[in-house]
Amino acid sequence: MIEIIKGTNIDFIGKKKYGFGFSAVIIFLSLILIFAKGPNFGIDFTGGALLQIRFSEPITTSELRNTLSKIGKGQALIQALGDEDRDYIIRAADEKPVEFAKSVKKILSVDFPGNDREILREETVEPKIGKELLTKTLWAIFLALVLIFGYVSFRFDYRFGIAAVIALFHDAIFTIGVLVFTQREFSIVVVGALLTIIGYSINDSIVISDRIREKYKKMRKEPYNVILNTGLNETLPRTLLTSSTTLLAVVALLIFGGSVIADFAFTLLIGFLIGTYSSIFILANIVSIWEERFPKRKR
Amino acid sequence: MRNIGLRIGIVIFVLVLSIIAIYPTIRLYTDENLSKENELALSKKAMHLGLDLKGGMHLVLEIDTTGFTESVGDLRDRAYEIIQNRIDEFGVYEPIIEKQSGGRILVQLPGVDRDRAIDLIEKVAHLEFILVAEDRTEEVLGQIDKYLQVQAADTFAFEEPFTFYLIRVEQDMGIDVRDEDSVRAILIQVKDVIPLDLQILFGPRESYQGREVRRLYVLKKEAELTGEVIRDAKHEPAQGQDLQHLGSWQVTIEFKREAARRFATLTGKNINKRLAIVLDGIVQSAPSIVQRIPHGKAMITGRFTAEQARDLAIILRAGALPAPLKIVEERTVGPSLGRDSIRSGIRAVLIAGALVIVFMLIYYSLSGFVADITLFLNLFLLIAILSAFRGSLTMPGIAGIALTIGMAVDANVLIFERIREELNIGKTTRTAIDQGFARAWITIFDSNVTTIIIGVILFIFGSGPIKGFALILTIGLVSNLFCAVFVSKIIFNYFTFKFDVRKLRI
Repeated sequence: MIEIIKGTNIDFIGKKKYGFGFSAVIIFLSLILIFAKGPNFGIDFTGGALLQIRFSEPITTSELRNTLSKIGKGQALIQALGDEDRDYIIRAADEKPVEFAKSVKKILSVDFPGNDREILREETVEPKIGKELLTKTLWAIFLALVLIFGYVSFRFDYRFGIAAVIALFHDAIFTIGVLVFTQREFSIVVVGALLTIIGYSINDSIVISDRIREKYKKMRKEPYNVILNTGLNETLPRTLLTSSTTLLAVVALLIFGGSVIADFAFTLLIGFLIGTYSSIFILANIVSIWEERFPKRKR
Repeated sequence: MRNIGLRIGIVIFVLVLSIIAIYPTIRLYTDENLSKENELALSKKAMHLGLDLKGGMHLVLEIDTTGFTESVGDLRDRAYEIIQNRIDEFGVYEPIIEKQSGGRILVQLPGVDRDRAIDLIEKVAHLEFILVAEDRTEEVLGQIDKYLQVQAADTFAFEEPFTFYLIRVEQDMGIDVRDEDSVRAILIQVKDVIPLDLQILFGPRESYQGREVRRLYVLKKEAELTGEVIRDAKHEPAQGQDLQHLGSWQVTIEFKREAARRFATLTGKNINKRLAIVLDGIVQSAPSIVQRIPHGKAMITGRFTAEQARDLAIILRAGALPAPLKIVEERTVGPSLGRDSIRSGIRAVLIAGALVIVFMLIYYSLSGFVADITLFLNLFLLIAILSAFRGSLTMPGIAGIALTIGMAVDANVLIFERIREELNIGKTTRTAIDQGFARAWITIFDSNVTTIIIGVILFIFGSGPIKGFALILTIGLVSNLFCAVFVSKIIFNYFTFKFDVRKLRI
């Protein structure tokens, strides 16, 4: 048995300006990316078609692009999977997804008659279904935030509730920012991952809030910031340990889980990393500032 | 040490239930020599694989109500019945067919040939018997040509702008498919010239003397008989001396009694004329009537393969759709991608599990071993519960298992850290364990509740694969509460009591 982190006494609260500064920068950059470039919405939300094809012979992206240009679909996204040049994803936001998929399959059989193809995955979503999915998704996220805010406010101080929800936005915005930066597809599965991140991030926040609440009862005489710091330090081993095991699992998924789950695992990885950071550096600091400005108890 | 006997009893009871629940699943996916009936019986009690792992198609169809006066709901309900019949007869294992609001129907078919299945579902199958207006063909063609010449009088025009495209296909006229767009454009342009009681329809694509062609027919507008009068339809090999149809299949249809009489009169009155069999606006064939057909049977010949003929017979038996259906969402996964996903998914879960187990052993020593045991138990319960509710395992679900492994130790970590703290302030082993569990419990409960809230939301709002993830996440958390808190406390209590442990390796 080992104890890597023992009896730490780091002044997280005193260093809040670094934390806030860092967060302000990454959130600012993320927002710029999100609004300037926009998420790379998948066909789930825009409507369109996706074909994952396995060729029997290697083929290049430019060959595929040339072929697609012949039917006026040269702008479709072509993504190579694996390193054998045989697996490809062809994806396009198209007004008529069913026709698009049909014409792609047809032109491939005309242009590469000797190269047998297996359609591994075929997805078509009509634009209006995409819109419905988007609305539904936004409602799901909204509902998740409201319920979590409600629960945390009910179990703890409402200030922790609001701080926790701010931390959630922080994590979600940063994760979306990274997704935009890496041009990963923003699909319904990625939204699932985002919601999971929200659940995970709140989990950390609760453990820390719980400890602070407990310390608050015991350390009535101490300044508020000392209580916050003690809570953070005492839960630090747990925060880092749990993050480690969860990250181990997510990294295993990302590396070994295959193409279907890669975006999902990547989103979780980014979200869990930032979630761990925000629960240590953001949550308690927001409460601390709140307490400084609008003290709840007499000093 | 209170009621440790009772607590151990509860754990054993849960274990026995789990073993009973999980047995069919394990048997189904590991025993390779299962008989068909056994497999069927087992799968009724086992965990299922989602379409993304098994391969299969997920379709959302929407009824196209343009030109219909009936309500969307009625049309959808009738289409639903017919699709259900067609799929039943087609023989798909465990299909899911559901009505949805907005005139939609959800169809999920595991492991089918995509193109064939879509044909089977989408085909309206409106069958008509229409007389060919051979005696008026010349007249109609002439009128079209004349109209086009007048329209294009001031520009260059062929002498016969329409007839120009026509070629001979056996005894019929036809066009090269490369001209199809031009011909269709003309037909739209001249629709007012064609006499009101006539229509021009195409045949299917076929190859004739080395080119791709479609025949063209001038037919009467009014159908003599329609598909509703069919009593039965069968597919069979085309017999006959006709070399061209050798090896191809045909569909024999049998009329209902009253329709058989009408068919007899019809054929009797029109000997030597041709009767076109039109399916969804395409002329399948147009045989000449040689004699009166009294027994109410007709044949649809074409260049069908056995599969095509079989599917057509199924469709005709099940009846026509009340209105066309449009695919608004499709998600099809081929079987090999499903296999790839299962393989990589299982590998990821095993590696994640191994990493976490080793990590816990190193960090918490013997107590880490207890955590590992509860982790195994957790996964076992997870699969057992999934089996008991006949839940589906999807690819995101597998990710959920990996995630459950990572997060399941959280409860243990919370408890162990608490126990360490209690020990550090000088409490005895037993008090430290009791207090550690008691204090950590509140936190564990609070943090799990919020994640369960997320799980439930994902389950309600998510589609297929995401639902699978939500299910695993939620079940994993609930069973984790049992394993990491209840079971691991028993283990701690039991061993510290039995061996009178003074120093806890935690």
